[in-house]
Amino acid sequence: MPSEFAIDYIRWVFFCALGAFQFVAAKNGLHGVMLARGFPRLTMIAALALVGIATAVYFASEPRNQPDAGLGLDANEQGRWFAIAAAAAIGATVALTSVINHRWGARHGLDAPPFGVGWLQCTTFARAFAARVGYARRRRVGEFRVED
Amino acid sequence: MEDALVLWLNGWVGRSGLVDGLMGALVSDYLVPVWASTVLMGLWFHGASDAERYENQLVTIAGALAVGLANGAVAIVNQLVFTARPFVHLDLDVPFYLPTDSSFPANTAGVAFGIATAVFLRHRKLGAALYALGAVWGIARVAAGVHYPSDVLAGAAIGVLVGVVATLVVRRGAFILRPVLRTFRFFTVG
Repeated sequence: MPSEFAIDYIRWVFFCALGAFQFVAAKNGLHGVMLARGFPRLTMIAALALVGIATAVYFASEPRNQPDAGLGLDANEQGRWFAIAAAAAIGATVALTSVINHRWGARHGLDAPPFGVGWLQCTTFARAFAARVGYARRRRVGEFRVED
Repeated sequence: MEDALVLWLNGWVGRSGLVDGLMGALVSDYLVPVWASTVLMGLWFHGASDAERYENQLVTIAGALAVGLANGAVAIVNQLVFTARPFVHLDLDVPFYLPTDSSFPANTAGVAFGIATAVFLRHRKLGAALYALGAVWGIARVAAGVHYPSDVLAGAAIGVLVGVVATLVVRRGAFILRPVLRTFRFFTVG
């Protein structure tokens, strides 16, 4: 069970990762994972603001310079909680945007072979992942063999 | 000379609430690692094409490897050389907890410069920004009285070295990483 200090750290990393992911999505035109699809510039500004505000709140709310042998986190704990919080931020983003952008994502054809994160420029993560699994399954049963 | 520099920088501590607040964040164990790691995370998804993204994903892996190598290298040097912290010898106002491990070399600089180097070798501007962040972290640590400037310089040198090594290892070993990457990319549609 994480300590209260660790929970604050996880919350801070979650919002930083959320902001960074939104910034990268807006910069690369990954509309399928953007929370505000039609506003890339605004999204980038809001994402940077989110990172700044989350950081300010984290450091202003409690004294953060604690020994890692005491209340603080050592390097291993930091690594572990960072990975969990960042994964949670990405997971929450793709889940939420898959719902928000679900209808928009349907306008694009999904039968072509997957071509990576570029998919997220034209559809949602849920639709891209489903198409990718479907493509892998069809390829396994030989649907795409030329000789067939 | 080093003592004079530590004393001069430490003289800024306690003069204003704003400076102390900024210093408290900059000197902490968390700010720079979280921001630098967030940059590495963002690079995983960044790129105009699949090939460019793949290159950026190698940078992310090299950065993570550099963190591990920097920690390992500093831990080895710490076993060989013990240097007491500046606050042990000097009369300082320390806005930080009092670490008991060796001052030389600065682990923080090793980690920050390791990540910065891995990024700099592909993205000059972003890498330079991370170098600046690492430098500010190092200066804040000196001002807080927990490191001498030479600790930070040695840590930075270790960081640059492990950053280059990590990048070479990842580039040369990319064929080993490819199946792992392919699996991971499947789940991130990457």
